[in-house]
Amino acid sequence: MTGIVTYQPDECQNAVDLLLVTQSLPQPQYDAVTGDFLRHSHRECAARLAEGDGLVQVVSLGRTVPWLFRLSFRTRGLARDAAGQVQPWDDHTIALRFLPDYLRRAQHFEMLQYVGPREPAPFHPNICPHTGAICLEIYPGEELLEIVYSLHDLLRWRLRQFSETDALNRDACSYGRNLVAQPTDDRPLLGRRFRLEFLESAK
Amino acid sequence: MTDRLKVAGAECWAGKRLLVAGLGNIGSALVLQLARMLAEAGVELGLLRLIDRSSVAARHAVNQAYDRADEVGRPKTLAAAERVRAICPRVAVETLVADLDQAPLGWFEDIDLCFGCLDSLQARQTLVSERAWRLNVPVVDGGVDGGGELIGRVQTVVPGGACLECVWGVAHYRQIARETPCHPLGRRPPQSTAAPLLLGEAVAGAMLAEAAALLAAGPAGGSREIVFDLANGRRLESRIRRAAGCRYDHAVVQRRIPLGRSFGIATLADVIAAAEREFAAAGDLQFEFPRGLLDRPPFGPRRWLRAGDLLANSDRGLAELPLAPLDRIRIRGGERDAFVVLDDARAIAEELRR
Repeated sequence: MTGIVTYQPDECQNAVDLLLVTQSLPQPQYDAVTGDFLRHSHRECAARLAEGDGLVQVVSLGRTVPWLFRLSFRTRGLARDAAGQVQPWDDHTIALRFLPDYLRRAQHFEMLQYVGPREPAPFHPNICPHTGAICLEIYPGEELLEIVYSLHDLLRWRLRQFSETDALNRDACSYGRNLVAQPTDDRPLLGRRFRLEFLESAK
Repeated sequence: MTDRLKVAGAECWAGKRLLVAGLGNIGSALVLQLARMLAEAGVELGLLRLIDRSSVAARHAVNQAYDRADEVGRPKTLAAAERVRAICPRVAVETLVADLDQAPLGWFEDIDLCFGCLDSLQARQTLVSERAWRLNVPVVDGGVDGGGELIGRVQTVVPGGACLECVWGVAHYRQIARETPCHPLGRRPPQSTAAPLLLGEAVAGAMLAEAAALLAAGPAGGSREIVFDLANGRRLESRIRRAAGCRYDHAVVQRRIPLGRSFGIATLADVIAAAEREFAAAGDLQFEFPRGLLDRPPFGPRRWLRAGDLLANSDRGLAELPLAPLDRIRIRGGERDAFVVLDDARAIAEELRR
């Protein structure tokens, strides 16, 4: 028995949040089991994020159920500008939606979208630079925190599609095979707050 | 006079309408065994429907029942249908070359029993949970060990009892995620099982025996599973009970709503009107389209949409949308649900008469 789990959505903090909320209307209807799962998953993730500084900000935008999220990563990945120049990039905003049958079916194209920035465009085999579609293996019932970790690994090129025929960005696939041998960011997603405790010297 | 072999229980197949999904290692063997058994016993089927998305390749001669050179390159459904007709010339065989999730729901509707001979969990979920169960059709599903062991499995799923997913755990759902292609237009190449034809034949035989028992005794026996190991002579039978923590909703949709107009001229507004007539007092209506309504969330495949979400597209013809004449649109109002039948034969006849 888990008891009643209260849920309070985060405030819309910027225009991107408002756009996500507007585009994602209407909020789907969730059965009690899925609703409880999402609340629990959100609570676990929030508790872990609260432990220390990290490279991600998770903002919940669902009204009554935490089903819609803005994820802002500071993971260092790659982006390509209009001139075709590939450069390191550490600002990524991704929308994440949990749909009502999430415990049985997880369709990553419905769940994930790379929101911005689009200029320079994200440069990764698993991210379509035109539509923002993201290919990430999500299994039904996977916890929010696990998905956040997977996205971090994807953005830093630890997870990537090696098959050009199945990649969403073939150029990035080819580029990565030749030039990306290591993850582009080796920092942990969730760091621990560094605490300095000064002991009073014995008088 | 032709000599007939005595086949125990063969009469239970008479007039039955069957569907075989998947014509690989198991399915290709199953249709031939079925045709020969019925020919030997002198029993006629009502209908045999075959569905598979792939074509015969030369390598299939090794462990599937396609051993003729002229079959290479032909859709498996046509090659199998031709063989069945050669053995049972009077049986009606219908074929569909398509992915299971693209096949219209009506194709599974007037069927007594489905055989699942599939190569992935995702396809099994589509056939058993999303098609057959909703339409109250029992399924006999077979599987082989793809790793070279002579291990086979036959699972009988009877709507009302335990479902396919009642025995699934996290590992099964993880496996489904691995089977999903990365590219939106991509699809995984058909899994070429490493199982020998011997194992496929054995599983097919066990599936036919289970199906005969089900057709003869009815659904009272409930869902069950048989696992056998040919190499070590072991066989394990177990009755499957419905799991309290199963993720499937176990809803069988009993009601059918005629659309009242033929598919070619009907619009989305007709679907909404038909649903509102049926669920007059149910309040907020929801609609589930088999292939989605639009190519963006939340209008994707099998997503519940409210009537208000459809209004912007209500004057569009059904033929313009991702729908086919034999499709069913599921409606939910309050605690009740129903299918809107798009191929309403009476409405078509009435329009022709006018």
